[in-house]
Amino acid sequence: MTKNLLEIEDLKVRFKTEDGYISTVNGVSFSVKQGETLAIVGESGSGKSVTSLALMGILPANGEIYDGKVTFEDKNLRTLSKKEYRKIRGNEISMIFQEPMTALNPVFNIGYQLRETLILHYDMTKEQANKKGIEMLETVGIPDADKVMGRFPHQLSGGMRQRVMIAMALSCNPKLLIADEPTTALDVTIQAQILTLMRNIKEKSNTSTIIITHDLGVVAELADRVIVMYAGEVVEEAPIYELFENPLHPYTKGLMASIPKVHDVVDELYSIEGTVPNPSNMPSGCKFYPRCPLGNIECTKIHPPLEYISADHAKRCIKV
Amino acid sequence: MNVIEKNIIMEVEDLKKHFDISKGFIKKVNSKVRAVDGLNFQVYKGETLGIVGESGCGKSTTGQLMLGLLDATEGHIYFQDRDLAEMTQEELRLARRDLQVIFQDPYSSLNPRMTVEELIGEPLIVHGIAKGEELKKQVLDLMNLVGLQKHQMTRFPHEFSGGQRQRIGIARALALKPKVIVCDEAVSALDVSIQAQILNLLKKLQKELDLTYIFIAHGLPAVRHISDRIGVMYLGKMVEMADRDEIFHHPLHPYTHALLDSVPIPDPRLRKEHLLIEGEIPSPTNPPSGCAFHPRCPFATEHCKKVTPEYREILPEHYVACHYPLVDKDTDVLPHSSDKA
Amino acid sequence: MAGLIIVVTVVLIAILAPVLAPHDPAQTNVVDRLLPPFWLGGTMEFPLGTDNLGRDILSRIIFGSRISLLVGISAVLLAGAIGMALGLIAGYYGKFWDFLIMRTVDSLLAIPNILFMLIILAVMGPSLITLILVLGGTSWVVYARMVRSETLSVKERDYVRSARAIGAKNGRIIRKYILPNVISSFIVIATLNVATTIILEASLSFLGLGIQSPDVSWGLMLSDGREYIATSWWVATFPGIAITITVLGVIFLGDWLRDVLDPKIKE
Repeated sequence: MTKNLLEIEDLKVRFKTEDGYISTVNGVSFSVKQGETLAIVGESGSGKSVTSLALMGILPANGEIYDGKVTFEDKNLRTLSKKEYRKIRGNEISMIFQEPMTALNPVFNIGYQLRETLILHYDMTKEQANKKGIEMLETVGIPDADKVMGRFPHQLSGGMRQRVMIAMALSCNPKLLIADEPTTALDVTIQAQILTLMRNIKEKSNTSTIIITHDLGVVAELADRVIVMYAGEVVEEAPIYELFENPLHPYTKGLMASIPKVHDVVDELYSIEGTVPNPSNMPSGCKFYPRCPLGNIECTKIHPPLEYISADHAKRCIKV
Repeated sequence: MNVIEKNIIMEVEDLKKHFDISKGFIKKVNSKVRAVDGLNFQVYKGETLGIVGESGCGKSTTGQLMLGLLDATEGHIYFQDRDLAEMTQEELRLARRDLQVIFQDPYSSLNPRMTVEELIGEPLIVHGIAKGEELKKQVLDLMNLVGLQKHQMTRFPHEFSGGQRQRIGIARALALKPKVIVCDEAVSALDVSIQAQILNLLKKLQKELDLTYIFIAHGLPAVRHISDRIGVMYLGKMVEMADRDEIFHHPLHPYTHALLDSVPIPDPRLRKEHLLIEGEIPSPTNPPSGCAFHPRCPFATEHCKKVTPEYREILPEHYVACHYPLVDKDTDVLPHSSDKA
Repeated sequence: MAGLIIVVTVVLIAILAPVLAPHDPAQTNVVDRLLPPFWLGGTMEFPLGTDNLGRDILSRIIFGSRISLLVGISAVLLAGAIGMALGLIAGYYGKFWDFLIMRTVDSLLAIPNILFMLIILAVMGPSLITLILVLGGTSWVVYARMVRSETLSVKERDYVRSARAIGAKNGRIIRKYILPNVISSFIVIATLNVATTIILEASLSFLGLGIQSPDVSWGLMLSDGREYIATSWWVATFPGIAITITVLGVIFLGDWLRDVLDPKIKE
C-alpha cells in the first residue's frame, strides 16, 4: 500500500459576503497517494477550484477554511504560519493555472520568474538558477530555451505560456502538483501537446498530481482516480476505469451522457434538467435531488452520506 | 438530417477580409491581418453547417461577414441569390430579419440594462412588427418556445444563470422568424450539462421552425453532434469540407486528420497517443507561403512551400485544399465499434 | 449617504436663503465692521462676525450658497451635455468625427485652463452668465474624453453587436445600448466636477473676474477676506469652511452614486 501524500478530511470553506457567510465547500474528504493522478471533476459552482485554492492556502481575502483537516506528509497545513506555508507552496506543492497569462507576471521576463523560485527555495546562485531554468524549459519541450528565458509572457503563445507555467511548477521538484483546468484555454491541437507532455512527466517522475477539470475527456486521458463534485460535495469517488464502466451516482451518469461524443452520435443528448443550486439557497436533503431523475420524497429528508460500496468506490446517493 | 434536396440558401464566393494594422502617431498601414483569405462554399436550406478551427482561423470573422455585420474586403456573399455587398444600408437592415445570430458569451451579449421582456421584444419593435398587448403575447410565446417562464419577464440578465441567458439570446434571435441563424460558439461557454440542454433545444427549434444553422465552434464534439456537414478552417482558408461522418471517418487533409485526432475522448479505455502536430499556429498577419499548413505538416514537400493548393471537390461533396490528400490512407480517427467494451 | 445629506442641506439653504438669513447680505454697516464671531467677544446679532464693510458673514454665506451652487451645477450641466454629445459621436461614429473632435480636445487641453478662462472673461467682461459659459465651455473636454473611451469599449461588446444584428438603427443603439452603459461613470465624474467647479468659481472670483458685488459667492467672500486674514481671520475662513464641507459632500455623493448605479452591485 502506498502512503497517502495528502489527506483532506471534511474540508469546509466559506466566503464572507454582504449577506453573511456562504459556504461553497461543504465537507470534502479525499486523499492523494504518492505518484498518483487524481482528477476532481465538476461544473461551475461545484467547489472544485475553491478546494484547490484552499489546500494551496491561497483563498481570496474573504474566504476561509472553517472546518476540517488538511494533512500533507503528516503536517497539518491548517496550523502552519504564513511563512511555513510559503515554504511549502511552490516548493513541495505547486500549481498550474487555467490562464497562464494572468498567472505569469507581465513585467518580468521568463528567465527572471523561473530563477526567482529556484533562488528562493534552493539558495542557488543566479548562474545555477539560469542553467536549471533552461533545463526545465527544455524538459517541457520549448525550443530555443535560452532565447525564451529573455522573453516576456506576452511575447509567447498560449501553449508556450502554459509550458512555461509547467516548467515553473516543476522546477522545484514538487511532491504534489495541482493543475486547475490546465488545458481549457488552449486550442485542441495545443491541448493534445500539453496533455501528452503531462502524461510524459507523470511517467518520468513520481510527482502526485491533482487535475481539476470540467472535461471528462481530459480526465479519461490522464487520471488514475476520479472524484466527482457537485454543489460543494463529493458525490462519487472511483478509480478511472471503474468510474467510466460503472458510474453510480445519477449526476455522474447524467454528466457522462450529456457530453456529445465524437464516436457515438445520438439524435438527442441526455440532459440534466435545471441548473446548479445557488450556494446561498441549497436544497435540504440531497443537493442533487431537484435535478435527479430518481429523486423522491425520501431524498428531501436525508442528506445522504458518502458510502463506500467497495474499497475504492464511493457514492453519495440513497437510491443506487 | 440527410440533405436530399439541396436548395442553396447562402453562397460564399472568393470571400476575403483583411484588417489593417496601423501603428504609430502618423497613421499608415503597417501590415494586414488576413482574417479570411478566400472562401468558397454553399449553405443548403435546412441544414446545419458546422465550421471548426482553432484560434485565428477566421471562423468568427466568417460568421460576422455572413451576417453583414462586417464588410468584406473582396468577394461575395449571396443570401437567396442577392449579394449582401450590393444591398443598401436599409435593405441590409431588413435582410437582418432573415439572418440572425446567437453569441458565445451569454454574459456579454445581453444589454445589462434591459429586462427580458425588452430584450426579446426589441427586434419586434425595431421592425415595427408588434406593439402593446400583441408584443407582450409574442414575447411570451417566444419565452415559452425556449423554455423560459412568464414570471421571469421583468428580470434583468444578471439574475439568470448562463444557460438561461443563452435561452434569452435564442429567443431574441428567433423573434424575427429568421431563415438562417449563425451560432457563433453558442454553447462553448456553457457547462456540460447545460450545453446538452441548449444543443437539444437548438435541434428541436430547427425541426419545428425549419431553420438553417451555421454552427461556428472550436469544440469538435458539439459540432459533430449538431452538424450535417462540417468545414475545417486554417489561417483564413477552408481546408476541407464534407459530410460530418465522412469527415470524421475519412479526413483527407492532414490538418483535419490531426485536429480530429487531438480531441480527448471521454473514455479511458480509448486512451491513445495523439497524432501531434508540431509547433504553433502561425500568425495570420504573416501566413506561410504556399500551403499555409506546410510548416507543421508531416507530408509537406518543396511543392507545398511554393504553390497554394486549390480548394476542390475530390470526392462527391468532399472538398479539400491539399496537394497530397490522404485519399487511400486509413485516416479514421474514431474508434471502431469493436474497440468498445 | 452622508454626502446626500450634506448636499440636500446645502441645496435647501440656498433655496430658503431669504428666510434663513438674519440680515440683508449686502447691507453695509460701518460702525460694526470686522466684528469677531460671538464666542470671541462679538454679538449674537452677527454670530459669525462681520466683514470689512460690516456685512453679516452668516447671511453672506447663506446667500453665497445660491450662486456657488448655481454656477457649479449649471456649468457642469453645460459641460456635461457638450462633452456627452461629442464623446458619443466621436466614439460611436469614429473616423472623421473622431479625428475632428479629439484633435479639438487635445488643442484645448494644451492651453492652461485658468489662462484661457482669464482671457475670455477679460474680453467678455465678468458676469454670472459669462462665468457659467466659460466654466462649462472649457471643462467639457474631460467628459468628451471619458465618454468617448467608454463608448469605444461598450461599442465592441457583444450586446451592441446583437443590436446591430437585429437591425436596430444607430440612434437606437446609442440611446438604448451605449448611453445607459456609459451614464453611470459619467454621473460620477460629473458630481466630482461640481466640486472642482465650485472651487474654480472661487478662484476666479478671488482673482476679481468672477462674481461682482453686490452679488455674493463664497469665492468672492474669500477674495474680500484676503487682506484681513492676519487681523480678522473669520472673514475668509468661514466661506472657506463652507466650500470645504460642500465639496466633501458632493464627493461623497459621487462615490455613493457610483455604487448605486452599478447594476451588478445593486443586485
